[in-house]
Amino acid sequence: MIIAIQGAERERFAAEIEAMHRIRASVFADRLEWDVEVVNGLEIDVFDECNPLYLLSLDPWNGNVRGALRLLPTTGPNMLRDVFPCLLADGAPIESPRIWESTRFCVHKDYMAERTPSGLNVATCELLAGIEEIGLLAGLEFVVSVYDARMARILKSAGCPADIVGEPQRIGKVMTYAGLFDISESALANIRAASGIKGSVLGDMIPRSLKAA
Amino acid sequence: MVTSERYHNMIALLGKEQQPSGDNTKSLKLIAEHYNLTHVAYLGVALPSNTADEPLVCVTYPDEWVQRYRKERYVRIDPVIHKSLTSILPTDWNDFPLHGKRIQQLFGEAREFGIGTNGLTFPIRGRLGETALFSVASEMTASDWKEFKRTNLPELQMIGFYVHRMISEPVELNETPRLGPREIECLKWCAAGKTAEDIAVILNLSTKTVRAYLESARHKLNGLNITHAVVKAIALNLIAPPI
Repeated sequence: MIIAIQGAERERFAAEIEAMHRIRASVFADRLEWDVEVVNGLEIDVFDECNPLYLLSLDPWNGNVRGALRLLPTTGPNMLRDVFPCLLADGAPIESPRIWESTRFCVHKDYMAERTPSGLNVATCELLAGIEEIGLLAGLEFVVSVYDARMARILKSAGCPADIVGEPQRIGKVMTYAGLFDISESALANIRAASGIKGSVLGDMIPRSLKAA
Repeated sequence: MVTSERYHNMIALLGKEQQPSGDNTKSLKLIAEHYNLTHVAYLGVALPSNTADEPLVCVTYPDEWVQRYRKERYVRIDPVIHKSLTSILPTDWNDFPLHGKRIQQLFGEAREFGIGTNGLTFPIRGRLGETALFSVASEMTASDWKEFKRTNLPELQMIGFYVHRMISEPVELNETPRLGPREIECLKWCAAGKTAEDIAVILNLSTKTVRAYLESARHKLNGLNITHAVVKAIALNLIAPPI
């Protein structure tokens, strides 16, 4: 199940948010060796102060956070514009209220082995389906994201191929890309078909009236 | 992207309305008329252009309601405003439980003043982190409202930002927008009558990437659609007029 947490709901989900920052520390600092700041085991950056929208995949059995990502509109402060402009053609940012940015995609190591019947990671598929569902109810056309070569392969096998915009660069240990994802009913259908997810992954966090939209 | 006929009609009228001395409330009324809405409202909170303590407000609401809202200091308790300022998803007004007397009073009075039985608020985030809200209200039946949201969300997202620029940056395009080389190339081919598919072949990019460059260029030029953006790009000498 995916829960979507916006600025105003952050306090209510303080434990889940903390778990997410802990997973981010282990993925981005320890495993990928990115130059990120970790304090008390939590990876937090300036964009977390910009009231982003977090998507968290929760284990339905115990409520543990399996994985997470962070969404920000490209019209405001965002990582691609402010941190990774080198990935874009001539550093010119992509900017539109109908294009959001997804960053800090991470899966907890204990949930790396949890697979769908088709052999894909459960948390990854849920998060990808979650981006599509949220994107549709926000009226988006695209989501841009910064990711590495390993993630590119996962995305492809999850029925969610991205088109690279700009120039791939080596960051830390890995080749890093800025990719473009379609937000559409058909893109959502592809992810569902590849992963075997049936129906909406969004939990009760999304108000009824919006979900029906 | 596909936009509706009424969107195109509205763009033509908004373009005429939006002169340097244009009346912003009149533009909002135009939007309301075209989308069969009771009211349209804009609230700019942390704007660099606005040095006053008060937020920048532009609404089609009756004056009596605006005065009442001010007098009662409803802005302090209005749950739609409080939630939307820290959100990025649009908020449906019907999703707020009417907890507390004051909030019940606020929603009850809004109804009495004919604001509408349902509404949707879009949070807006600007380049420097400024925030604003764009709201639409209607008297539609529940099922019509649902259908309205389903079909009009993308257009309303674009209109919301257009209104934000119109009101918060009154001297339009004072500064030439910073378009990337790819965005300019895509616009140039667009001006020459090429489709996104054609441009993708010409520039050896995917159609998806071309569409994203065009959408980003549209936004930076504050065009309501690509044609509108191409016209503005020509006026700014960013691209040459087609021969």
